[in-house]
Amino acid sequence: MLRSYLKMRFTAKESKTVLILLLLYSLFAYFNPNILVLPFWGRNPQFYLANYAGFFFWFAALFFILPLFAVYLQPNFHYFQNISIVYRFKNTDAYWMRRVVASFIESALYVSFLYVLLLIRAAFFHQFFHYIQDWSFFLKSYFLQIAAFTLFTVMYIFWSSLFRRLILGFAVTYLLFAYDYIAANVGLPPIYLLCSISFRPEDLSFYWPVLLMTLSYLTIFIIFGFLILKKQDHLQKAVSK
Amino acid sequence: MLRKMFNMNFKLMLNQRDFLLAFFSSLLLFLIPAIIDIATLYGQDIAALAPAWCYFGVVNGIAGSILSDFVQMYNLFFFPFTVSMAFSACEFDEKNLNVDKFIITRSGRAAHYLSQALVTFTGGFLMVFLPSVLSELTLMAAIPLQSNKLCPNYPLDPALLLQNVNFFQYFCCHYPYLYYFVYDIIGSVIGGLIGLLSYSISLYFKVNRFLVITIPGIIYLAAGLILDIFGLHAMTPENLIVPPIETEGIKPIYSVILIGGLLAIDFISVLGKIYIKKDEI
Repeated sequence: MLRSYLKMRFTAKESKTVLILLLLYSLFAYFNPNILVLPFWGRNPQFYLANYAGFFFWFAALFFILPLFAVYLQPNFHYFQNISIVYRFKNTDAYWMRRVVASFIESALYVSFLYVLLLIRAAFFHQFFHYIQDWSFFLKSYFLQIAAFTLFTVMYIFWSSLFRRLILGFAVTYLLFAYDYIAANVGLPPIYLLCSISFRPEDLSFYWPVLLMTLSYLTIFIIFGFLILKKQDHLQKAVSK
Repeated sequence: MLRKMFNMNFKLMLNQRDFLLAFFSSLLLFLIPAIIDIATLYGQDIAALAPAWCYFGVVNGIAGSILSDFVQMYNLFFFPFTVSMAFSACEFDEKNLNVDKFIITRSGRAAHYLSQALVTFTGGFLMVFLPSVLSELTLMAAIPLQSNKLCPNYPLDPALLLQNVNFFQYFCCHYPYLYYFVYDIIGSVIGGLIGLLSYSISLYFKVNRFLVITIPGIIYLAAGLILDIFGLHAMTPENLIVPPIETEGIKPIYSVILIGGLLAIDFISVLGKIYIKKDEI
């Protein structure tokens, strides 16, 4: 079933649209690399870090990468909320676990694609060796970002199932991820959810706490997912989508 | 028939869970910070108070009010989504339930689509207009409309408030309440037009409900990021819906282009659906 799902996911128009938009976004910096200065977190950035910030730091992550990720996830909802798919599973636990696995694979594919775009751009500007030199940071942030995007997906599915509205699920999940940005501007205490996507080299000292926190949230939402799915009327959900 | 259909759709909108949720969220986002600001100012000497308009949410960052931070965040993240949540998915929902054909046979295509478009615009407009005006009225009720200026630069330097206002300056200086009211209307009109853009998407593209509501919002966010990256801060949509208090270089032509562009797209889409793309059967 997972194979047929992935086949459908790669041919879905949402996947193709997101792919094209990410490619176009990535192309901007080829013509004028100086534009990468703005999404960077400090002043006078090194190219390889500014290139990374262009995909993963606050502005890019919140205003482009996460909204596009939500669009990219639409085939997941089409497929798994289809009533004939739901009834093919023996029980809701198996159904939910399959959704979590699919979410993980989708997140890994999306983050990997972003890294491919990032590395191609680095190679174009002859800056690839910086990523090899700093491989430990980029490998760590790669795994952390996969966990963060999986958490985004699981939270999105969870809230959407709870409210029975995709838009409300997206609004709550996006708000939780945008909270750190809002908190920084309003002066509220941070919750470090966005930090797991916008991880910086200077944050390496608290890499393990952030990873642990992300995985803990993920576990909590997976458990909540089990609980909420058991109480849900899937037939009604399919009608009132 | 158009009036009857408008009333029917308007009632339908007011009873929708999505509309109520988005509207009350917007209202709370505006009113709670305004009340916190008033509570913070409570008990202060009247000489330490600026006129009420200095604490409006759109006077970003100058007065240092909590409301301005929340309004900035609202305009940045929530504005395009809440306006689309008002009633933009109405045609999508009716098409999904297969009731649009029955309504069209009784009301006619023009009345059906025009009434939906008008209610969508009104919904988007009210979603921004009512919360912002209510928060301003709350502040005006609690804070004096004119302050006792014992010293020209205390409690606020007027030059700071006017530093980037390079058009309608006289209007802003002498009739600030009217000036901000006009900007409430400008923001609300843009909100209504963005809601209408979502509706237009549902008329032409076979996308799901989530995409109908979020595509204009995603374009809004991405346009802001891309214009910022290219150093065109003055052209970002979130800066055009508020008075030019904190952003340099904003020109009225940018707002005209934004409103004109949205209006043209929405107008052509709705008329095109009524007179050209007749695909209900």
